[in-house]
This record gives sequence, C-alpha cells and structure tokens, in this order.
Amino acid sequence: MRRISFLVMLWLLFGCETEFNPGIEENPQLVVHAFLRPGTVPSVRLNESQFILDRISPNGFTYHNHAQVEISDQQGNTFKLASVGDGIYLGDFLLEAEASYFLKIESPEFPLIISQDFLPGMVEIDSFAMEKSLTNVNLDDRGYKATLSFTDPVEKDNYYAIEIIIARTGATQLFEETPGYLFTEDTKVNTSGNTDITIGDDQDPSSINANLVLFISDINLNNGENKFEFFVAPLGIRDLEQQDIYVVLKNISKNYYNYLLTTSFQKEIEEEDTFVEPVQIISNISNGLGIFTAYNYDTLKATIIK
Amino acid sequence: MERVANKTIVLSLVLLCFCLVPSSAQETTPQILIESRQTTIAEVLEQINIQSGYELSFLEGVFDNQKKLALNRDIYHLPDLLNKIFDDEPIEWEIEGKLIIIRKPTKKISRKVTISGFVKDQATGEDLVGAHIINQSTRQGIIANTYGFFSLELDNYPQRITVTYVGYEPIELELQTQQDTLVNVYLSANSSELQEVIVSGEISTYEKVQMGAITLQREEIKSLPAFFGEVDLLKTIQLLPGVQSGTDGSAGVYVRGGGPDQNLILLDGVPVYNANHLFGFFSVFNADAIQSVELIKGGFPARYGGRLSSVIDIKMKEGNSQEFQAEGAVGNIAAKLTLEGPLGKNKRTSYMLSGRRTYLDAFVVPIARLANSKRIASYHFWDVNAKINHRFSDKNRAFLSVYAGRDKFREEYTNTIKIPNFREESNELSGLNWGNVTAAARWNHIYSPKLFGNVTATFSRYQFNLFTENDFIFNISGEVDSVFQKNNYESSVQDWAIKLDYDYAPSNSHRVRFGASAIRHFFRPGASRFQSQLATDTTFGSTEIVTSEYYAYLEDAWQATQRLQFNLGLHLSGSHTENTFYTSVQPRFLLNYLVGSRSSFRLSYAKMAQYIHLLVNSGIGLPTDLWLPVTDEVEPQLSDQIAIGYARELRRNFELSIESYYKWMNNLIEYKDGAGFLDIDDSWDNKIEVGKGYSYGIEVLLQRKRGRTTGWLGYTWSRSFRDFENLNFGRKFPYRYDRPHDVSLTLNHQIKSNISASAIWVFGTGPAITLPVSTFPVSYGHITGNQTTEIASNYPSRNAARMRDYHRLDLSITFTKEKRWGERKWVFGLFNAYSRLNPVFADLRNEPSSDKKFVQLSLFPIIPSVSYQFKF
Repeated sequence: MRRISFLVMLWLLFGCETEFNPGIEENPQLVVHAFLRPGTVPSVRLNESQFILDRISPNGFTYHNHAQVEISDQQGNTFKLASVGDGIYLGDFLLEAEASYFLKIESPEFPLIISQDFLPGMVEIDSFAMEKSLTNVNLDDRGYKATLSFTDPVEKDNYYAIEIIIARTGATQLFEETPGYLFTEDTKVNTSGNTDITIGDDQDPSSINANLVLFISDINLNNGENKFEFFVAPLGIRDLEQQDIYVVLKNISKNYYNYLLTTSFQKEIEEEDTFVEPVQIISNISNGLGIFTAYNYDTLKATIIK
Repeated sequence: MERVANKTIVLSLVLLCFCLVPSSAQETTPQILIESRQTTIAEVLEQINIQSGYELSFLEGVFDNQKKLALNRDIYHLPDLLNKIFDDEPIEWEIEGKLIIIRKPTKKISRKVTISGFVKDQATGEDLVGAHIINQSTRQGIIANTYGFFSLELDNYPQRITVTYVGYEPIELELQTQQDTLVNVYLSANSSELQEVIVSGEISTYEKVQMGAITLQREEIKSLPAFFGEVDLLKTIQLLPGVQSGTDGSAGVYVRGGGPDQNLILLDGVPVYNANHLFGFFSVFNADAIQSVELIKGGFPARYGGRLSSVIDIKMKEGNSQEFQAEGAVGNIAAKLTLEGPLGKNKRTSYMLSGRRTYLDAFVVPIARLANSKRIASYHFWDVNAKINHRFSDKNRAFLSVYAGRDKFREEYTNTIKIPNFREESNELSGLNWGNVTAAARWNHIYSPKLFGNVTATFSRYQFNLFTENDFIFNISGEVDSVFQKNNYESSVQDWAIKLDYDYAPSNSHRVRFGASAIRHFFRPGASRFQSQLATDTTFGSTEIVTSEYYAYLEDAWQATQRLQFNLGLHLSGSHTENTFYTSVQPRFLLNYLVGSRSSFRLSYAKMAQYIHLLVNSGIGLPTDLWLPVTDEVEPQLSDQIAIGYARELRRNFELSIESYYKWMNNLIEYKDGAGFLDIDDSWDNKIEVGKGYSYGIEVLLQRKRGRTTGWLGYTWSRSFRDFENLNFGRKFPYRYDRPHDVSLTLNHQIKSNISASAIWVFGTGPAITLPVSTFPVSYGHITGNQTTEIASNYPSRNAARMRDYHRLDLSITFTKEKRWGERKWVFGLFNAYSRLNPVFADLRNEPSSDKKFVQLSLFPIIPSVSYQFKF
C-alpha cells in the first residue's frame, strides 16, 4: 500500500533522471542538544551541521569545543559551562524542578544562539505491571504487554515520554543500566505522538517499530487517572528472574515533545519515500538546530504478572 | 430564419458589411458629376455607382426608380445628391462604408416591441452562444445568452436588427410588427474567407463587460498540437495567462494562485470533481464532444459561486439537428467516435453520442501473458458523452446530458518457489480505479419575450478505489497452509442538485439574471477495509458525511451609458453541516468603460465562498486527492479578489488585454507535514492544517482571432503564498504552484486551404520544492544517556528551492482532404520537439557508491504522434 507502484511503473517506462543544482548554499550551523533534569548538573552537547551534499565522516559530525556556553535561571543567576571535549559542556550546579532556564552560546564562527525552556514538576507513576509471557502485538511481532497507571494533571496540557530500563537485579545506578525498547506505531500527524491508546489492537494495521522512547500528548488522555497499555520489545530481555524492568515516565515540555514528534516523523517519511511534504524538525534554538529542553521524571520497577 | 405562427410579420434580408463610417463626413465622401438636367432616379443611382464605386442596397418597390428628376448640371457631394433625389420621397438613406442603404424610414410606434428568440447555426442547428444582436436605429446591442436566447426591445417601425457572430455571415432582419415577436435566427458559416482561419463566436475583448474571461471554441482547441495525439481541453486552458499547469504532462489547472479544488469545472452545468485521466496526463473532456469552454478568472458574475478561483464552463455539443454526422479519430493511445444527428422527421429532437477509449492494454497484456511474465500491468481509460435535446415548441426545450468515465489500473504478480519438500505459490493483485459520472436534465422555457428560464436537475459522482490482494499457499512436506491479506481503500463524493436560473430583460439597458440552487453532498473521504486469515474483517476510516449547500443570486448587466457598463450582483450562499450553518454574502462588482473607439478600462471585485475542500496529497495529480466537506471545525474557504484591466483592439485583427489582480484567501487547508492519504487509520480532520493564502500578478494577452495566422501570446508575472500557523514554523511560504514567470505562445497557420500547421511554446519558472540544505545529528535524550544518534535533514523553509525552469515546444501539421464520403485529416505532431528534460519531481540521491546529489525526474522527452481523423 505504501509504495505507489503505478507511478513507479510509469517512471520506469518514461522517466529520465538527471542531476541538477538547485543553487543551495548553506553555511554550517551549531547543533545543540541539552536535556536538563532536576538533581543533575546541566550538560550541553554542540556539533556542527554539514552541507547536504557532503558525506558524513566516519567520526560523525564535527564537535564544537570552543564556544562560550552559559545557562541562566529565572532569578538571573548565570552559570558558565566548561568544555570537557567531544562537544560536551558541563555545568557545576544542580538543576531544580519548576524553574525556567535560559541558554546563551557565543562562538566566533557562528551567530549568537539563545534558547529557553521550563523544567516541569514530576508526574508520579501509580503502578506499572508487565506480563511475563510474550503476546502477539500484530501479525509479525511479539512483545511483553505492559500497563502503566498515572494521574494526568488536569490544569494544563501535558506531554509525556515513556522509556524502559533493563537493569541487572540489584543494580544501584539505575541510569547506567541498559536502555530497553518499546513497540511504537508509525508516527501520525494527529499530535498523539508515536502511539495511540489502542496500540496492538488486532484491528489496527499500522506497522510497529521498536523504539527507545514512546511519547504522547495528553490530548488523547483523560485528565485524571489513566491506565496506559503498551508493549515492551523483548530486545535485551533474557531472563526476567535475573533482570528488573523499570519504566521511566518523563513529564516533558512541549518543545521536547515537538522535537521528538518531528524527528521521528521525518525519519519515517524518508524511509518510506512517500510523496508527501517533508517534515521540518521543530527546534527552539534561535540561529541554530537541535533542542534545549528540560524534563522531570518518575521511575518504577515492573510488577511481573505470570 | 424561421417564421413563427400567428404573427403577421414581413422579414427581409440584406447582407451587409459592417464597417461604419459617419455619413455626415462630406469631405470624405465622393463627388458626383451630373451632366443631364432631365433624368430618372435609376439613372442618377447608376451614375453614383459608376463614379463613386459605392454599392447600393434597396428593396424593389421602396421607391419609384423611373421617377423624373430635374437637377442642375453640377458636381454634387454624394449626401447632397441623395437628399435631392429623395427630397419628396418617404425614404431615408444611410452610407455604411461603401454601401448606400436606401429604405423606408423607421418611425416611432406607440408601444415598444420586444423581439426575442434563439440564434442558431444554419447547418447544425446548434445554439450560437454570445451572438451579437444590434438595433440598427440606435446601434444598441445585446448578446445572446448561453442558450443562444436574446431579447431586444425596439421602439421604431419597421424594426431592423442585425445579428452577427464572428465566423458567420451577418444577417439583417427587417420586421414590420406591432407586437412582441419571437424569431429564431439561423446564421451560415462564413464562406468568403476560406483562406482565413476564423475563431468564431467572440466579440472583441474590449467590448466584453466580463473581465478575466476567455472563451475557447472547439476548433481552437482542436487546432493546437496534441499530447500523444489526443487534444485536450484543460491543457489548452493551461496556456492562458493566469493559469499555471502542474507537473509535466499534467492537466492540473491552478488559476491566479488558487488550488486545484478552487476551480468550478462545469460540464453542461454539472460540477466535475476529478477532471483527470491517467494521473492527470489527460483531462476527462473529449474535445470532439465539446462545443465551447469559457474560463472566468476574476470579476465573477453573481450567478457563479461555490469556488474561489475560477469557473471553467464547458458546453457539450447539442447534436446536429439538421443531418446525421459522424466524426472520429485514431491516435497514438486512444480511439474515439462521435455520432450526432436529428431524431424523427420533424427534426425537433437531436442527439450527440461520443465515446473514447485507450487501447494500449489490448496489446500489452496478451503479449505479457504470451511471454509468461510474472508481473503484468495494464491500464486503460474510457469515457462517454451523450446528449439529447428536444424542442417541444418554440418556447419549450429539454436537454438531457450524461458523462461517464473511468480509469482502471491493474497489476498482477504471480510467482512459485519450489525447493525439496517446499512449495510456495504467491498471487498478488493490486489495482486503482477512479471515475466520474455526471448527468443534467434541463428544461428551457420562454415565459415571455423578456423572461427566459431554466430548471436543471444535476447529479455528479466521483469515486476512487485502491485495493491489494495477496494470497500465499505453502506446501511443506505435503502439509498445505495459506495466508491471505486484502486491503481496500475507497473515497467518493456525490452530489444531487436542483437549480433555477432566470434571464430577464426589462429594457435594453438592463439584463437581470436571478436564480437559486440547492445541493446535497454525500462525502465519503476515505474508508478502508482490511481482511486477513487472522483478523476479522474490519472497516475503519471516515464514515459518510452529508451536507447541504444553498445559494441564490441576483445580477444586473447595466448599460449605464453608451460607454459605461456595469455588472452588479449579489450571491448569497449557505451550507448546513453537522451542527453549524455557514452563510456568506458575496457582493460582485464589475465596471467596463469604453475609452475611445477600440479600447476599454475594467475594474472588478468579487467575494467568493467555497464549502468543500480538496486535500491534495502531492503535486503530481493523483486521483487520491480527497474531497472534504466543511465541518464544525473546518470552515468554508473564502476569498476576495480585486482586478483592474485594459483591453484594446489593435490593427491587423490583434487584440490586447492586460489585467492585474490581488487575491486574499482564508480557511485554506493543507496536509500537516508528513501526512498523506494513506494514513488510513487516522481521521482526515486530524491530518490537516488551516491557514491563509494570497496571490497577486499581472497578465498580458495578445491574441489574433482572424487571418491565416491566429493564436495568442500570453505572459503572466505572479506570486502566490501560503501562511499557516503550524506549517513552515509559522512563516509564510511560496505555494507549490508559485511560478513568477509564465509565458505561452500558440500559433496556428493556414498554409493552404487543406494544410495547417500549429505550434505551442511554453515557459515557466521552475516549480517550487522543499529540499534539505544540511544534515545534523539528533538525539532523543534517553535518561540512561544512551548516545544513539541519528541523522536528520534540515529543511529551513517550505518550497524555498526551485527545480529547473520549464520550457517546451510542440508542433503539429494537419493535412485535410475532402473525400467522396466526407473529410479526413492526418495530424502529425511532436510533443516537446527539442526534447527538453523538464522537471516533475526532485529528490536527494544518497547512494553509498556515488556522490550525494540532487536529481530531478523528467517524464516526457520528444514524443511524436500521429492521428487519423474522419468526418462525414
């Protein structure tokens, strides 16, 4: 269905492909990645973008190590971040919830970059359970059916990202354990993220992908208590007796949500090569690319249901 | 000409040339030497003819030509001499060019008389739309309406009117009647200009009240080079200024920055929702079945509504009411046949039946089967136009016209894999079908000599269907298992409508039109059915939506002075959908002021509302585009357009018109980034964004409609932008069909009476496209710090890049030969004569084995065509 075979056939019959120069000129831009969370020091990673016709070197995108990076809080306190190599800049202060943070980057080769985001409060997980046996997700894939309950705050729009951590039993540094994968659907345009509540329903023909993050907006949730069902991919899960499965419920900003939505959507569209308008990735970085964002989170170990 | 029963009238005909010269201009009139004192009127008139070269026109018995005259031997100015000759006679005379018309004087009568009727072609009986009917006494004229009907009020006796239509012999009628009279006027095609090509039916551009309007006749369309040997109406319209085409070969029409849904394409008054065959490479209109088409781009009269950007009013042939006629052609890919003629002995009924079908599949599929090909693809389209009209009386006529057409694409794939203890048979079938059905039943009635009316019932349906069926049979060591999947996707839109249109002429200065219509729309904007051996049959997607649309209008074409004309109107419309009733008040204003003797200045304003939307999936004219209703959330599209123009008739039959416009559009819809019709499990209203648009431009048209060489040169400079809060980061962006420069040149030259050649050259700025300018890493920010980094593309702005400029030359030559049985034509053509690789689509090619590069896909290099046409 996805491939429009008649057009392909027509082009095979008549089509002629020639190289052309659309006259595009692009100077590199700074690419910012910063995901702030409470109780940690801020970390900002800087890369440089590449002209579209240049191939990416085996070492990846160029790191930018000689910028002046500052983060300010809403009280006007400004903190300089130190470069630690590989394009990473670290701060020496702890971030707090329910506060706004401002980014400023100066570099001789690039225009001034500024950005800001709000670090929201935590949304607690009420319960998280996962079945021990694998279930058919669709015609091809099998996963562990999981149920997450949490209370969506009524008073405002909320955006969530759900992640899985596969931890060795008894591990103490949870965030240094292995990331798990979740089954998500093809990204859609109705702002419900990369899934909807009926994921895995037999009636749903969408193709299913295994991803590190599942994200949703509360547009399709009832404000208040929610029971959210999804599937955990078996990748990396070898023995549930020896491994603990944790869920991470991130309360993310709208900037972060839009960034996740558009990046995953662009990837999907480019892979499928359909004749639709390309997706522009939303960024809150002025004069640059990437994302400067903040989130809060809660984690809970899965109760395994036999 | 036909005499109407129970009317005592006398009609006489005089064939005239119409090159008016003021009769009072003595200094430019010849002088006549009279040598004999005693002479007769006949002798003096003979001398006038000999000495001046002027022809004389008079009816026998109007005066006594043997009457003696007593004149001094002298040299007389012609007007003075005519005054002396007829000094005592109840006679008036007039000099028109080199013709002296002598007749009984007209006189004022106590009550005004209305002469009404139809103007028709003598040979075929078809209505002559837009014929000019002129009162000879006042030189005031009116124009016959869409059905050839006219109503002219006269207050002199006898009544003298002239009926003209370009390409036909003009005719003068003299009526001596004291009461309202109904006459049908038959004009004969002009036979005196055999060496000239005459594009019939048009009055000079500057004389038209309507601005932004261009009429094309069938012969004009058929004389241009054809694509694959198949002449196409919409492709001809694309050549007019202000109209942008889509991609190469596409029949898409984009008028003054508007979208493809903003064109009201009417076939005999019925909206056609998808005018494309073969993914847009041909339109559904068979040129052999069409009489004329009128394109209106701005200054819309109040009788039109429901779309923002244009009205393409196509009139199907009525059928020859005088004699049987057949016409056909066999081209590169299609064959067609048109039959028409009278039914019954009294010739009150005529019919037209026209059919067309592509035939490549008839050869390709059998050959593929013979070659045991695993993959067999076939495609064909067909269409049928039929029309029957019956004249119950001089005041009552009825029409029934029907169009049906269908495109069918089908692909089969069969394969068998055999290995020891294993056998797999796969059968895959996919297909795509789409088509329109339209029907109109119309009753014309003349209520009085001043009031003409139409009642029309219409039906229109467009259906699209895409399906795939996969069957797999496995035989593993004798154990047989099977898997099947079936997907079916359907969308459709269907209308039932009734409308009333009235044409009232209270005086020669006012022509009032009024009417109303009610339309019931049934939308099914995309429903899918999914079946497999595992899951139960499931239907999902949008359900049927029913909406109603209503409108009423009133317009007055008002001849305020000899030089100043207005068309003032009001169009009221409304649509009932779900829980909302939308209404719209749309004023229309049009002014035409004659400047000097051959030029005019125009000004117009029109507000338009549109209660349906088209969700366009891509720029390549796919039949998958979805027609959608307004809903509680998705409001009607609205536009305001102002236009200013100037038209002038130049020497050597050239006409020039220049128009400039500015158009604002609201409530436009677009797919969200990345959305497409194949997001089948998502409701359509979740996939759209609503925004604004605006466009502006200048259009220049230089055309020649008479002479051995005819054609036009059109140039448009225009811009069109869209502004959506949630697209392109909220910044305005060029519309997909924004092409600042657009040039089209069409030429048709009559080399000999039996050989003609034509050429088209078009140029357009490269189509706008969204291309990436850079790549950059993206990270999802997993809480574990997992640095899985993916590569993304940076698209800084929508439609910011341009593909290559588009230009193309098409040529054709036609050889005509009269045969005993009728006429045959060989038409040889070259599409894209210098084989320019024009862009259809551009993409970034990123293959590991070669450099990254932008590539553009071109579809059609040089394509020769040959067509054999016959007519008898």
